[in-house]
This record gives sequence, C-alpha cells and structure tokens, in this order.
Amino acid sequence: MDNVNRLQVHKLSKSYGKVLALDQVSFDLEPGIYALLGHNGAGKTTLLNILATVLESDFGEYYFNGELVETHKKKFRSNLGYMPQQQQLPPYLSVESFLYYIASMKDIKRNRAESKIESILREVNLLEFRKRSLSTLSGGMKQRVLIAQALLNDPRILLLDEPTAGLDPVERRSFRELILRISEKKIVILATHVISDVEWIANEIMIMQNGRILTISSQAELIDKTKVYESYELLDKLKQQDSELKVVNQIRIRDQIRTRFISKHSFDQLVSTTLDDVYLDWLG
Amino acid sequence: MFTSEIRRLFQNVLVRRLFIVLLLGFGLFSVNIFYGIENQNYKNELEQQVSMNSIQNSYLRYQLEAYGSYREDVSKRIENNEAKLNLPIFTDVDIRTQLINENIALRKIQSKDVRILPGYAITELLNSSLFSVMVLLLSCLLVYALFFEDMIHQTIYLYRSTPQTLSKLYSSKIAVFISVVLVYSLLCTCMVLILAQWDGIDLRSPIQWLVDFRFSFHFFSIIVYILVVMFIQTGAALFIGCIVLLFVILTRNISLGYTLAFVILLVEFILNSFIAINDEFSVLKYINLFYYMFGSIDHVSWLMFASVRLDFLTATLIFMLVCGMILTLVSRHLYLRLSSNGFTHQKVKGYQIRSTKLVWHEFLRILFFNKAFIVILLVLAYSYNRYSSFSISKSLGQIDYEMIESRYYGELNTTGLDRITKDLDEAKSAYEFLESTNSGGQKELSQEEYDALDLKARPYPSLIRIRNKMIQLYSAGSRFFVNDDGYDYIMESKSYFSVILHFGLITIALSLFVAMNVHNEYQNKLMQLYLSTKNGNLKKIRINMWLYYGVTLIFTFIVYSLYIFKIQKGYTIFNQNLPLFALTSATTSSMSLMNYTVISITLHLFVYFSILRIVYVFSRRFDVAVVVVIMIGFAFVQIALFNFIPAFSILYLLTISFVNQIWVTLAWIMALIVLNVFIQAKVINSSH
Repeated sequence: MDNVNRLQVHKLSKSYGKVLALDQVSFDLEPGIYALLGHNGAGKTTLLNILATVLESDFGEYYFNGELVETHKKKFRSNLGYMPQQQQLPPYLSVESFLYYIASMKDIKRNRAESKIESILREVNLLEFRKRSLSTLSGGMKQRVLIAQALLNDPRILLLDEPTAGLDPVERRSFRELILRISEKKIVILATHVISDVEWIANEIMIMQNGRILTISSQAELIDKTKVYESYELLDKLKQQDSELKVVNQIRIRDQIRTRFISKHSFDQLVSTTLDDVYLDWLG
Repeated sequence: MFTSEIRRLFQNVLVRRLFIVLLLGFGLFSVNIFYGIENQNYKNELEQQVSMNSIQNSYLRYQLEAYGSYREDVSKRIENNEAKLNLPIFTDVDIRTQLINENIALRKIQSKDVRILPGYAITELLNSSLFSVMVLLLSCLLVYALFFEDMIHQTIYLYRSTPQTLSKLYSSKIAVFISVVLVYSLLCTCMVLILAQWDGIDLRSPIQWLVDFRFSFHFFSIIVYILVVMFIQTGAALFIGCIVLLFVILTRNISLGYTLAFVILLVEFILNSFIAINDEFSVLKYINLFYYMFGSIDHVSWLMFASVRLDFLTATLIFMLVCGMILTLVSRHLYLRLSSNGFTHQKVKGYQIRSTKLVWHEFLRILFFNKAFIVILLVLAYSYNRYSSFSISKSLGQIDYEMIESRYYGELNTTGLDRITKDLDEAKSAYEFLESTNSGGQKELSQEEYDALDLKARPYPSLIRIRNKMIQLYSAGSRFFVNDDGYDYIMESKSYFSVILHFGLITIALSLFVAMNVHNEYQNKLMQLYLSTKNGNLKKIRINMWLYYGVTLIFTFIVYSLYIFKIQKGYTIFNQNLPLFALTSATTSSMSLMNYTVISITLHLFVYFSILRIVYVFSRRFDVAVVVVIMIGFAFVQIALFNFIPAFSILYLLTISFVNQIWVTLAWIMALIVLNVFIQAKVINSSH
C-alpha cells in the first residue's frame, strides 16, 4: 500500500456492432478523485466496465502499477472496488448478509470480514439497518449498500458509475462527504452527468463525448478556460458579435430579458463561471 | 372494464407466452400420445385380432385380462346372488330386495355391449394428469398477473383515484380469471375430442372397459367422461386459484401465500393417498381437492353420491360452486380492505447468512432463495403421484399363477426341473385321488384330509403350464427362469410413454430451474459487480455448475427410482428374480441387469447434464420464456424423431436401443462430447 497507485490506459477501443463506444481512450491517473462527465451514451459506463474487467476491449490495454491488467486480472480485482449503476439487489437477503456474500466473492476471510463489515456499515450510516431486508431499503440506502460493498476489500481503485442516481439533495451531500473521507491514496473514478455530484470534490474532470476523452483538467483550469457573460441586449444582436456563442439561459426581468452565455469573444459583463457552464461549453 | 382487463392481461408478455406454451405443450403431448409408437402398436395388435398368449406385456393384454375378469366377475356375482336367494337362511325381505336389485343392475351391465375399445391413448392422457398441472399453473399465474402485479407496482393506488369502484375492478378481474381458464380448458378439451375422433374412437361408447368403472351403473360414454374429468379438474384449478388469492391477501406476502396454498394441496394429497376406502374418514379421501385435481374420478365416488340421489358431477359442481362463492366473497372483502391499507410482499427482516464461503452462499441462493426450485419439487411430487397411484388389475387366477411361478424363479438347470417335476407329480396324484373320490371310487375322506389334498391338487394346472415353459426355455439354452415382464419396463423397451414423459418433464423442469436462476442474475446488472471481484468469475460459475449437476443428479435419480419402484409394485424385479450380474439373454437384452442399469444411468446423466449446459448457455442470452420455449421445441423434435427415426433422436440413448446398435450409440456419445467441449469453451471464454 505504500507504493503510489497508478493507472495507465492506452488506446482503449470498443464498439458494439457499428456503434463506436470507445475511441482510442488514453490517460494516466494517480491517486485522486476523477469525475468522468459526459452525456448519456458518451461511453462512460463502457469505459468503467472495461476498467472493472467486466467487459473486454477490442483494442488497447491498461496497466495498474506497471502490470498489464489483462495478464494480472486476479491481482487487479483484489485491488478493485466497483459500484455499477443502480440495480435491484437480492431482495431476500439482509444488508449484512449481502455484504458477506460479496466478501465471499472478494475472498475476504471471515474474521476480517466481520470487523470490516461493521466498520463500513458505520461509515455509510447503515449499522442500525444491518438486519433489514434489501427489498425494504430506500434508493439512497441501496446506493450506500453498494458503496459499502465496493469498499469491503480496501480497494486502491474505486470505480463508481452514476452513484448518486435517485438520491435526494441531503443524501447527495452525505455521499460527497463519504467519498472525500474514503478517497485518500485511492484512484476514484466517478462517472456521472450530474455536475453537483463532483463540484468541489473532484481533483480532475474528465470530459467524454462520443467515446473520446475531450480533456482531463482540474476544475480551476476548466473554469478559467470558459468565459461566461450576461447581457440585456437582444440575442440576435449578441449573435451578430459572436455567431458561435452558447446560450446558458435567458431570464425575463420586468420588460427585459437577461441572457447568460458563453463566448470566445470578449463582452462587457464577465460573470463567474460554474461547472455547469463548463459542461455546456464542452458538451452543449 | 372486463375487456380492458383482458386486453391488459394479454399485453403481459409472460401471460401471453405461457398461455401459448401451455396450450402448445398440451397439444403436442396429446398428439404424441395418440400418434406415438405405443398407441400405434396397441391399435395394430387390436386390428390383428391376435390371440392373447402371443401378446406380451402390452396394454392390450392387461385390458383383455381386465375385460375377461370383468365378464367373469359379473357372472359370478349374479350366480352368488342367485345361490343366496335360493338358500333358506336368506329370509330377510330387505336383504332379498337388495340382492334382487343388485342382480337386475348386474344383468343390465351384462347385457350392455361393452367392447374392447382402442382406449389406450385416452386412458394414458387422462392418467398423466398433464392437463391438471397445466391448468393449475395457468390459474396460479393468472391470479398473480391479475391481482398482485397492481399491488407490487402500487398501481392499485392509481386505480383507487379513478371513478371506478374497487369492487367493480375486483369483479372484472375474477370474471377475466374464470373466463381465461375456461377458454384454455375448452381448447384443450376440443383438442382431445378431435384427436380421439381422428383415432377412430367411438365417443358414445360406454367406459365399462376402464377398471374403475367396471361396476358403474351409470354407463358413462367416453365423451361424457372426458368432459366431466376435464371440467372437474378446471373447477379444482379455479378453486385453488381462489385459495391462493385468499392466502396471499391474508398473509400480505406473495411467496407465503403461494406456499400455503401448495401446503394445503399437499395435505389433501396425503389425505387422499393414505386414507383407506373403508376408513371412517373416507369422505376426506373423496371430497378432496387433490382428488378432483389429479384423481381418476372412479365409480366409487359416483356411487357415494348416488346413494343420496345425487350424481357425482352435480354434487361436485354444487360443492365447488358454494365453496368458490364463499372464497370469492371473503377474498373480495379482504381485497378491498387490503387495497386501502397497503400491500407489502417483502418482509422487513432479511435472511441472515454470516459466512464468507462462496459455496454456501451459492447453495442457499440456488436451492432456497430461488422460486424456480419449486418446479423441481412439483415434478418430483408428480412422479410420486404416478408411483403411488399406479396399480395393475389382475384376476385372482393370474395372481395365484404368478405366486406359484415365483417359487421356481432362479437358475434354470436339472435341479430346478427335478424340483418342479416332483411338485407336479405330487399335485397330480392328489388331483387324481380327489377325482376318483368325487366319482365314488375311493372311501369317504374326513374334512381335514380333503382340505390337505385339495391344497396340494389346486396348483396342478398351473404347474403343468410352468413346467412346459421351463422345459421350453431350458431347451432354448436359457440359464435362468425369470418373470421378465418388469425388465422390459425397466429397460424401457416397452414403456415409450414413460420414456417420453420423463424426458419431457425433466428437460422442461431443468430448463425452468436453470433459466430462471441464471437469467435473473445476468439480466440484473449486479452480475457486473460480481464479475469485477476475485471469485465472482470462474469460481462462482464453477460452483453454480456443480450445484446444477448435483440437483440434476438427485432429481433424475429420484424420478427414475420412483419409476423403478412403480414397476416393482406390479412386477417382480429385484426380490426373487434374476441375480443382478446374470446375463439376461432369456429376456430382451444380452446384458446383465446391473451392467445395463449402471450404463443406462450414466447415459441418462450424460444426456441431462448436456441439456443442462445448453440451457445454461442459452439462459445468459435469452429471456426465460424464450429458453423454455426453445427447450420445449427441442424436446418435441426429439420425441417426434424417436417415433419416426429413433436413431436420430437423443432418446436413443435413454432406452434399451443403445445396446442394439453400438455404432449409433457411439456416434451419439461422440456428438455429445463435441457439444460439451464447445459449450465448455463458451463458458470459460465468457468468464475469463
């Protein structure tokens, strides 16, 4: 565990029939939280499934700490925590029994599993629900069970696919806090299309479109690159100055309309940029 | 509302597919019985008017025996009654009237032209209880689809907000439930009647040839019998559907409700099986859901109601109608209450398993937390029912003969022949002595002396027959004298119906069991999570496969053991017959019984393991219904091939045929090995 973890991905490609889901994706990651942003169908889940060794790529390879994963799958899986998209959990099992089931699949010995399950359940605030049937849990609680299972083997790489789908704002906040607590020395890749999930917690943002990674940059860099303006002028007039401007929103205030927009040109009223603006700038 | 409920019901893919599968399944099964080898053989034998002695072990032989004993029994009963009437001690007027009335009825039976009819297919079809199973499955599914899906998906609250009352909704659902089951039953009945008509059966003939109806005074025709049996079974299925509805509503838990309903059916089965006819609680044997569902509805029940001047059908219909009405009203009341109070089909506390052994988790998941395992249990219950309800009708003379013959079973040598010759001589001298005494040539005998001589002389005719048979076999080179009737059934050279039934049932049950298990996991994205773990790939698949093999092994073993026990009930096989390692050259096969059994069981397992693996591969790609339909199609193609070109059917390996043409057997084994290697590669590749 003292070694610095490193994930190197080299030209991963995957297609489903004629649809190219991943197009020569390459990156090099060190410990930190990485937000994988993109529309539905951008290739986020395909990328995570390949990294989780669930799916095989057509081309390319990836290395963990210098070892080719293809040839060291078992070792890699021992270091992996994966949370797939929300789905039905076995309804008959209790929360605790489900975690024991996953522990058996992760080859964790009974004594270790016992203490680990208790500490993780405490961490995700599910200790008092340990005997509850999975079928009776709310969406947020199920998500927490899935996060708990991902953490069972003290993973060095954590892959989270749409982890906050179906959560209310309070649960989203708790989730963000949880991720921040557990992410130390880990490579956490968090795929989502909900900006607020990653705002403030992600060290780096990976923007993905049509199976390609468009950029991997820090939030500050991205925010710095995107210039957002507000103006009460008519949109047609604004477009005369920059035909490629992207409208973020338009709000009617009394008899006037205020337009918020992104532009490469310089306008009078420069306002602060949010991550939503960055998302629109890259993917809108 | 009725129309919209029907439309909604048939938009449910599962209901639509299962309705078609159940209808096709019953149709194909019926076609197979009517056009199968056994029915064709039976009809050929019947047409050839062959003498009884040349017919071996066939249905016709038993039917002819039953027919013979039926004529004999009727005449004897008339004679006995006449003799009693002539005796001075029968002076009681009531007894005399009863005897006279019985004789009138018996003469009426005697005067009826009861012929041997080609009734094999119909009898087998009704005895198979397949219709009952199908209509029961359909009822349970319909209750689920109509009443509980709304509650699980909580759309019931949406309905409550509409102007329609829940009471009306409930009534329309009940009406749809009854109508769909009735339509299914009507279609099945029409199929049976059409097939019977095409088979050349006169549907208006009386059914006195059925053992259970030998002394029935009602003279039911075949058409009435079919209609009565199938509609009583439909009534019972509807009734069970109502019970399921009631229990689920009462317990507010789907699994528990269904389990309780099946427990009730099991209790009914135990009451039906273990209460004797003359027991004081015999009423529980006949007014019994299981009896209506799977029983042959014999004449005893008809007579029981006839004594209170109600025929069985009317009594049954009134009984079911009243009970059904009560059940429906109670469940309606509870349904309305439940719909207001909410419905939960899951218990709050989950099952607790604190183990990190993957094999233990998989074992519990596959065998205990998997509803599909019920299918296996149902088939086992059905096999047990076939075993427990099996009986062979033999005349007293035949039973006596077989008992005497069994004394000489064993090695066929001069010692054995000397033994029977000695017994024959003794019987002969006793017989001749009694003859001369009766004709007045000898002194008067005391009662004891007469009885002792009579006991010795009685087997004389049978002993002559047995000795001739032994000499004939001895001179033909046989080493053993055995009753090999049962061996033909064990080696499945005569009982094609059982082979087909077992093959069909085991294939379908395994398909459902594995497909529901595997598909559920693979459809659920949770499988991706499992695959991303260290043991979630090859180890999990390996454990699962071993568990499936284990279930298949035990399941197949129990089904075939019950079959062997069933045969053992009617024939002598293992007790005092052929030694296990003796060559059965005197019988159908040139193999010893033990060798045959071991090879046959191995081949059975090989075939069913291969089927299991095919289903496993399919289940990861296709929907459960699709897999089951594919496997039903596969089973019927194999059965059809077996009827027309046996060597091209996989069933070739499941009968004595595999001994006959060793090259065909080897070709089949090679084909299965190649198939299994291919499947193994697929499984390993996908689990990397």
